[in-house]
Amino acid sequence: MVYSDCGYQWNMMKGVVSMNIMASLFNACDPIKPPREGTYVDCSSARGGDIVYTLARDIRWVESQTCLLFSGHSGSGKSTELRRLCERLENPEMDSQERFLPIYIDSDDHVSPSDPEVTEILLAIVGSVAETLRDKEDICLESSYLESRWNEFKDILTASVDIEKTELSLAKFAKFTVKLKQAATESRRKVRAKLAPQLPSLIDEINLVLSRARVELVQRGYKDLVLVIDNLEKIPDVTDYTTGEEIYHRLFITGGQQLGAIEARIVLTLPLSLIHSSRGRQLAQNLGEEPIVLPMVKVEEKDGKPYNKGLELIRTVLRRRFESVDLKCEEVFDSTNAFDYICRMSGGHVRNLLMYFRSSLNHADSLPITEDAVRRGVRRHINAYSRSIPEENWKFLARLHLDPDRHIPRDDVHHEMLRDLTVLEYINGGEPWYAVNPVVRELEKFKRAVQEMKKVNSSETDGTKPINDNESTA
Amino acid sequence: MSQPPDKESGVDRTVELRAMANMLRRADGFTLAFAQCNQPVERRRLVSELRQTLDDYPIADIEFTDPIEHLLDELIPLLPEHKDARALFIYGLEHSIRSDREFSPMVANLNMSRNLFPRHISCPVVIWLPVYAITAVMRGAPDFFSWRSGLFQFPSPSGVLTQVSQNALSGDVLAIINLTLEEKKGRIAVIEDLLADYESLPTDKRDRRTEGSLFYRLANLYYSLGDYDQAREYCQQSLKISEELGDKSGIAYSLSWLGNIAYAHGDYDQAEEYCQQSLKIFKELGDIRGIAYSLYQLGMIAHIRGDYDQAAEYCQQSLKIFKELRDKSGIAYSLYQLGIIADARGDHDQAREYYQQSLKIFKELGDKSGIAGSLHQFGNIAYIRGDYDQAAEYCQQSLKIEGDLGSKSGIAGSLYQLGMIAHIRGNYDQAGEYYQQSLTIFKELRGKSGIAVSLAQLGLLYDRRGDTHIAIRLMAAAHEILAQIGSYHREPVLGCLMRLQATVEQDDFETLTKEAQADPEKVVREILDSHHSE
Repeated sequence: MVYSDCGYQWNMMKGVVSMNIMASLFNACDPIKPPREGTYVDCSSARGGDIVYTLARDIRWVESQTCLLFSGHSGSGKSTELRRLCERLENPEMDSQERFLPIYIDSDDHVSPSDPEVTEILLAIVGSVAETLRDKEDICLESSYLESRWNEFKDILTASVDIEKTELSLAKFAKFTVKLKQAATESRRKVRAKLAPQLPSLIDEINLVLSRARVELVQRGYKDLVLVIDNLEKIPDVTDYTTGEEIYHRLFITGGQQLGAIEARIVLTLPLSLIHSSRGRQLAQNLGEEPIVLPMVKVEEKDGKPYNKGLELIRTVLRRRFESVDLKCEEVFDSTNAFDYICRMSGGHVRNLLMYFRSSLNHADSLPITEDAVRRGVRRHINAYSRSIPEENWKFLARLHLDPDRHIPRDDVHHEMLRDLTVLEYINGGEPWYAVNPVVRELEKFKRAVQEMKKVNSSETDGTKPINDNESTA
Repeated sequence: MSQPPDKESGVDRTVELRAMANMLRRADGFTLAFAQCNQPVERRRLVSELRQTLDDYPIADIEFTDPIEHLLDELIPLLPEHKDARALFIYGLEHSIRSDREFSPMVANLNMSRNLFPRHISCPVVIWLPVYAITAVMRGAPDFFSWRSGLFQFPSPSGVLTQVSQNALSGDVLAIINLTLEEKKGRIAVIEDLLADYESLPTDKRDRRTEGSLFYRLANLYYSLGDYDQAREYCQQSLKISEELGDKSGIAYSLSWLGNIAYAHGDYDQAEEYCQQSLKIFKELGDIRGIAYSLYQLGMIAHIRGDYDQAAEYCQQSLKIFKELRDKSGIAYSLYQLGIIADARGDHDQAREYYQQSLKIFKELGDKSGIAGSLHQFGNIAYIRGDYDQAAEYCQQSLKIEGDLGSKSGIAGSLYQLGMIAHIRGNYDQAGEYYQQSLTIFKELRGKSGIAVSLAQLGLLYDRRGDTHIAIRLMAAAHEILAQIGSYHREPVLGCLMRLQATVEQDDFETLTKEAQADPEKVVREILDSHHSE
């Protein structure tokens, strides 16, 4: 074996360098983390308006109390937009605008997905308000009523969870709900059972605490506090086997009335499927506000033609991320085809975009990424839909695809399809419309269903009967 | 680094492994990925190959062998012992996911607790699951699933596929018929997953022949469970693919099974047509085994129509061919069928001889279904001889085996027989109970012959109780069904009906029979409803 150490070393170096670039690029496009400083792209022009502006305006306009309902596809950027909202409320762009103190409540921390109850949200509100006020403004909130409630149920939980006894402020409720979520279902239910008859007085007390907080905040230059309750939309809609009650009904309809009784400015995230159902309308009536939906970034028109402005925004989302690791698009992709393919397949869904990019990158050993690698990467995600979509849904998808108005009926099947991103929601001006996820459209099954639907449609207009299934056996 | 040799866009294990290795090397911090692999053996092979590729990259293997409720809660205590690992591979979560449709608390918790994952875990996590479980996560935890940085698909290696599919086409029905209920269900799940793997391949990579044989195998499995509708659907799929491919043998076998299914539904004309079609193709192909099987089926059909000479002739022909082929299973079933024909002719000694011969072979082959059938027939002979204790014992034995096998038609048949025994012993309530049970199952299976004979027996019970009108309705409905399907059982039923005719007003009799004949299914519903409401 000839030892040509020069060449060997050079190859090694090249390997190391390209490895680092590949790793940096991979980590710059994380579908999980919020965008890094400088990589956020404002897509509001292709989303039918600036959602953060709308939310902030509505919060400012109301006298004292409101409950804004906010929804959108999973991964569409709701949390990112809510964090921007918090930022904008606390640090307004114009000096003339009032400051608000946002209280961000991640319901993931406080609510058990299989057994959610509004009581936990109420307690989380108290805890989070107390915690934020203590940490940010050194305000200590107290309530003898809540203290005595605390003494009632802390015994139930001490057996299963450990709560710091030294915690004096109401901020301990924030930790309490976190623990409560992790506790055994029986302990949780015991706590609830204790609280249930006292719920009206609990809500009243919370309102008192909030008034106290408000007074303190006004003295420190804030107009008010704003409760931003995120991630409630992730709770699955199932039936509680022990009570036979639908979870959504319990949490959002019954619970919605209690949340509506909280005297504060609230922004609440809701499942998209709930908003589209009749229960959603009931909820909006209870709370008195129409839900605001964060749609996909529009990358194509209703008639399927590419929407260049939106596509350019989506390209910019990736481009900014490339630039954060000093790469240009031309260096990342070997062709504009490859780049455009990912952007088109994303359907304007930012997390999907990043996910497809990462998958494509997995299939590339070095830069630039070839179109082949991109198609391979996306193919896996296309395949996954092939099995997850029930046989009977293909005809609904074909119908939506061929409907010039791109409307969907308000039924369970379509809610389910919004939830698992088989169908995506867009906004054009004011009216929402829907499209089949571009990756689903790549499937043979979809193409067949569209062909069949076209055949049926044309035979219906001919006045002839549709083709019978039995024909093949005859 | 050299380029991978293959350029096609399909799913290839080397390409997938390489992509996964790329991801693992590059990922910094919590990164979620899914790997789809249906077989644990194959999964272990893949992981070990991956370890070699990655070299000096410690991976922690965490396997769950039981259902869990909360993945993160289970993981957190395990993390300290794996603190040197650069990636976590998680296996066995499919135990916490019963099907792709049912609610799974584990999956719901994945969705809700996803934000907590990056707080506790700061390395890549790869969750290995079979395809149905991936679908369940996709549907049940869409937010968690949408966090994936990779979805790697490892279709089952072609060796495994051909193994399964060859079994399916060899006509080795034994492989299926002897499985326990649980095993059958397990196999169904495996084959359905395999089919999904195939369907996910790019068009040019798909192997329609294997897909066809997998459908065929599924049809057999569902048939053996008594789910005839599902069996028919899969059988038609298999037929369609065979036709597409111009595979005559495949067409003939699918038609032959469609014949079995039609027979089970009591559509004897349809069954005969399928059999004749398949027989024609088998003859063209010179497939002797196929010919023998079609003759055997035609024998069954002729028998149920009461044409015993023709039936015996078909069965003797098929027996002769099976003997030439030394096909033991075929021999045993032909003998068994000859026994049933002898029984129907009243030659019970001859019948018992046939059954004994067939039982011997069934035992040799370990064919439980055949054993159960033979025991059932021995019970029948004991019943005819008047030895009811012996009859009941045989029947219970056969019921037990059919129950283990999950064969609904077998269970219904045994229950019916137990009803007959209770009936003749004068335990009318118990007999009624058995008949109701057999009727319920036959109705579910849409086995017309079974429905009719159960109705007729219930008719006799009502007659004994003095409910002559109901008895007439039941008998008339039974007779109508038996006449429709052309079963020989209609004659004794007609005899009973005529006897009953003498006990009521002629007008009443005509109204009752006309009504029942017009809608026999209504009579079935009524009698089942009246039972439930008691």
